[in-house]
Amino acid sequence: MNYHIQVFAGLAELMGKPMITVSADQETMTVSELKDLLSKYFPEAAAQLQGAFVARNQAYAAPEDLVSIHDEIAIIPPVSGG
Amino acid sequence: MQYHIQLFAGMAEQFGDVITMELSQETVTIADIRTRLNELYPEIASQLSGSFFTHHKKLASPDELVLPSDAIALHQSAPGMETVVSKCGLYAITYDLIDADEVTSKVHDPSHGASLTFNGTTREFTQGQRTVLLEYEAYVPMAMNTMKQIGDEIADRWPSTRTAITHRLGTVRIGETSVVIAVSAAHRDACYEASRHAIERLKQIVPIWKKEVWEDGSEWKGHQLGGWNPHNTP
Repeated sequence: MNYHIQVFAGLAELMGKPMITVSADQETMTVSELKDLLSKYFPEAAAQLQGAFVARNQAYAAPEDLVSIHDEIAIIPPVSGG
Repeated sequence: MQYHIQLFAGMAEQFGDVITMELSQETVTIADIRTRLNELYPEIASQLSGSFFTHHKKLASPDELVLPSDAIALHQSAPGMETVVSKCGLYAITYDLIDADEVTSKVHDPSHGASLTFNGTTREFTQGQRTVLLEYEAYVPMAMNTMKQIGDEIADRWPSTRTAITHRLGTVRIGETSVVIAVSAAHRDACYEASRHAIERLKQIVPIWKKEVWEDGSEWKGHQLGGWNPHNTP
C-alpha cells in the first residue's frame, strides 16, 4: 500500500523531493504512526518531522487521527506567511 | 469510464495538454483522481506537490464528486499560475503584484463606518541581517481554506464585519507587499481588533512559507524554537 505525501518548504529541501511515497502493509494508520514511519525513511529529517503537523484532505489532523492511502496527505512544517 | 484531466504550463509541455484515465468505480471523487494519477503517472506524481485540482474552474475539495464529462484540471503552484480566487471572491493567492485598493473594495459596505487595510511588506533587515529578496511557497488549496476559516472566525466574533485577504507567492522584492488584509465593520473598535486577529491567525495557521534570501545564503522561516501548534485557539 502506497502513501503519497506532499512536503513543503525547508522540509522538502531536507527530504530531497516535494512528493514522498512510502509503503506499509495497512491501508490506514494514525498521524503519529505516519510521522514515525517517515522518520525511519528520512532520519535526517526526524527532528523537523516531529515539529511538523499533518494535513489530511487539506485540513490539520490530530496525532491520533487516521490517514488512509486514499487521503490527500501533506506535512506542514511551521508556517511563516505574512 | 474515462476521465480527462487538463494540464497547464510546464506540466502540459512535459506530459501533453490532456491526460485520459480509466476509472471503473461508480462514483469518483477528486481524491480518487489524484490517487489514480499517482499510480499511473508516477513521474507526474513526483511534481504534484503544491499542485491542486479545479473542477469547472473552481478549486475542488478532495471529497468532491466528478463525472467523466466534467472539466477537471490540474494546476501547479508556480510562477505564471493564474490567480486563485475563492468561490465567495474574498480570498485570493497570486504570483502577481497585489492591488491593495482592489482588496479593500471587496469589503466595502454602505452600512459600515470603518475599514482597515493591512499591508504586510517585506523587510530589508531582520536582526541585523540584510535580506535581498523573499520567496513564498504555499499549499494552495489548504491556504485558501484556512484564509476563509479566518474570515469566518472574524464574522463570528465580531458580527457584521467583512474580511478579504490576498497573499502573494513566488519572488517578492524588498519593500513590496506580500499580503493585504482588508476588514470593514460598523464601528472602528471591532475593525481594529478584527484586523489584528486576521494577521495573527494568518501567521499561525495558513500553510504559506517564506524563505529569506541573503547575499550569501538563505533560510526558510518558521517557528525556530518549536512549540508551533495550529490547533491552539486564538
